[in-house]
Amino acid sequence: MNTLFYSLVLLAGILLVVAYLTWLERKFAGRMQSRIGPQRVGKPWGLLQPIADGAKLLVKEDIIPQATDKTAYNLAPIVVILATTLVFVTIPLGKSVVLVDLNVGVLFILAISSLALIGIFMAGWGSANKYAILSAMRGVNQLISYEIPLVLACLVPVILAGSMKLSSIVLAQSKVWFIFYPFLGQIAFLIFLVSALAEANRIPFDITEAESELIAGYTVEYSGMKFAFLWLAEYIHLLAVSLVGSILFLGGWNGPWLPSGLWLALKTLLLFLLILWIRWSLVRIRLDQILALSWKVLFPLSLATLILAGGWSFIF
Amino acid sequence: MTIEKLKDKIKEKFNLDCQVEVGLVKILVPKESWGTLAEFLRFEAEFNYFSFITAVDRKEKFEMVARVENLEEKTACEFTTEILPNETLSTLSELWEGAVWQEREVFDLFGIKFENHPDLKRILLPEDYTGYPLKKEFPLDKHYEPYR
Amino acid sequence: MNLIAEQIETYKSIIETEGDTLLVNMGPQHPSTHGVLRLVLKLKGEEVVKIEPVIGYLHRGFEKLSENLTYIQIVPLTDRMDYLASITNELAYVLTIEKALKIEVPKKAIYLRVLTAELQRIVSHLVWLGTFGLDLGGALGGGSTLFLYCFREREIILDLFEEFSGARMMYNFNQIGGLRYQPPLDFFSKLKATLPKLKQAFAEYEEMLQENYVFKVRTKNIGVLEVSLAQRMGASGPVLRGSGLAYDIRKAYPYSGYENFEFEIPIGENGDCFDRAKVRILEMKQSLRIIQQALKGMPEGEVAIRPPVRVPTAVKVPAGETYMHIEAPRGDLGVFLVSDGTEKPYRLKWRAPSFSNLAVLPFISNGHKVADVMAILGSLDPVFGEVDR
Repeated sequence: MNTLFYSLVLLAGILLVVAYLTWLERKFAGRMQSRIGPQRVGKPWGLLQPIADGAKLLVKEDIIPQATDKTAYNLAPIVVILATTLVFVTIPLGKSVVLVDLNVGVLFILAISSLALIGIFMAGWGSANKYAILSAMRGVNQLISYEIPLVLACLVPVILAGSMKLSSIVLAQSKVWFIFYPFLGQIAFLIFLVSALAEANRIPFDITEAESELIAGYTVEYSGMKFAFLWLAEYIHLLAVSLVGSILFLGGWNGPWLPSGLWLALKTLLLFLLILWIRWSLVRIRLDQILALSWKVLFPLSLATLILAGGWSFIF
Repeated sequence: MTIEKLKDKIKEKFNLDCQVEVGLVKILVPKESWGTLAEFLRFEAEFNYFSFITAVDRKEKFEMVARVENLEEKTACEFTTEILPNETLSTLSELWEGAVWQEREVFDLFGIKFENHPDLKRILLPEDYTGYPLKKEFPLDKHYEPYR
Repeated sequence: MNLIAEQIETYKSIIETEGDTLLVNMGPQHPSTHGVLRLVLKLKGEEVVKIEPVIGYLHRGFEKLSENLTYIQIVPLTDRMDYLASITNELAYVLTIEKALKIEVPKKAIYLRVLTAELQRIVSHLVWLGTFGLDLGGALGGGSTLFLYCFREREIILDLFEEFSGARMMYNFNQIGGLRYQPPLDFFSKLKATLPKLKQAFAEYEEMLQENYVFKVRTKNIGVLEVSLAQRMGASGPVLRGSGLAYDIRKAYPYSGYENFEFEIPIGENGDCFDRAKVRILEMKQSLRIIQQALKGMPEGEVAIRPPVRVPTAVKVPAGETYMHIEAPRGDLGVFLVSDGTEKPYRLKWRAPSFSNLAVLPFISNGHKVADVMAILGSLDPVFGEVDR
């Protein structure tokens, strides 16, 4: 009963937080682009904008194009949002605030979040649209090449902490956060950030969306709530990335004076803003350049970091 | 090649008189030597830059005007010929690639056909359009089929 | 029912098995085709095998329309050609008529024409830079940041134009024999006040050109256009100069008093997208230089050979052929006028720079990726009002 209650609260919380993250992004982008951002809906600072957006998408007509592969097309948004939301099961949101503290937490997160790409491929294939298919192909390419550096970068904290359990990883950082380990921490964090951006399909790696050539990629044939699901999933994924990043590298809820949950929230917000900053100041890189970056730079670098981490934990 | 030298050369080779302005030669060529003159202008006089080709509907005949330039020496050449409405003209697109679209435009709006053109089809108007709007005989007071 | 079966058939043949190529039809409704271009792409994976631009969706028959309008009525029509650089279209047309009529305009009008033409060049290049950002990617990201920054600067200049002529984009401002209006009293002081802002902004763009790694990676060695091909294609303006030929009609055939101004012609080296971008950004700085000189030497006096009247008397151009070309922001904008002595032109041919520049696209984009095609298209900077006329 307790678990059920907690998971309901978690789900509602995620949706609310994500909705306001989109608001935050729009405000942030507005400030970066010397404009104001949303301000009309909800008097102070357009605070009701995400709710208005949600309502608009809910009442929109759900158009299913005739030539689509119905099963794949209808199932895809569910798969995507399921895969991205399920990650939160094992992420601790504060000291002992966690649904299931799996002892293979990191592995679980990596495995489940990659499933979202199956949903993206289903959306692309099921849409029966050439842009969508191209986008889905790009997505698979990108996933295969970025999964490896991501996993290797996530293994560095695992080796340093000696556990895959997220709470133990945080506990291991109670004295020094992993990002402050000389060279090792920073490089691993950088690899993590870059490959996580690629996994989350954010600029400069958002070639699956690529509105300048593929219009909106795999979401091109979706409308109404199905589109909202795909779009929400992107932000949920981003939230998960920021949370996991702050747990693995930024010391989780460790910090003086403030309560543990607040520390984690602050770090997550910081990471999220960093990602936004990158997004609103760079243009997109090409597919082949993205793959080259992964295989020629990140992959060898992450292997080297892993060896370094092994040496570190052997010596100290 | 200076303008004066060019004038003499054209006189010698094609037996044509040209009108000379500052940095510009205007030549009226017979239809038959249109292609050979163009070849001469392209390779010997080195007019590399293709500015435009167009037609003027003089009702009983078409006046074809093409302009090429030499950008380094800042000289230009306008060569003109006259053809009858159902005659064809040899293409310039083998000498200047820029003529491909320009000649398509002339074909589209005047209905003049070019020999050996690689891709002669309508460019600005829809493919199923009938009629050639820049001809003087094109009616202005009625819808032209297919009207959309 | 038949229709549905047909559609399903289309779905099944979605990957045309012509080798392993995929035929993609981009546009005419597509976010980065700059209006209404249709591109038929043949792709092998991500690589472009063949590309065919299909134009004509914005064809409004200017050349036919002009044959049925008087010379004075055509001026506002020219605004609608290259709608991002209206003043240069007007200027090209008006200079042609003035050349045919052999009339001289007052010195102040000449200076103001240069001043406005250069402001217009800056406006046009700013729109190009912004949309180029969108083409490189990130309409919801960095690209739109660049876009909005460019529009911020463009707005300053458009406000000035609005004060001068009453319109923001379609000015109808150059007239045969001068300008329509005297500038407002505080126009020059306001313009002087905005110049430092523009200068600062251009410095930022130049910095982006030199230091933004992602921008460089996306534009260097993409869409290399050789200078000989560029000439044969009739490509002009920044596209030609990007390929390394310092040809600018303002220097080569000075018109409207450009011989009195000092400026340089920026050129590129390789003829790739980066060079075309570089040329445009450096050109904006040179335009600023010309504006400063024009402001310094601005004479006093009338701006037209006769004051504006309510019902203009008809202009009759003596029979003959006239050709005049000017350096529009997009290149060599030529007007070929055949007149028969009446108050309407017999034939008015526009040599549109965008038309010739766009024709280059199939020649330089083969073998590149789909994303590069958009970058190349953006760097050619076609405006479809002008391509289709």
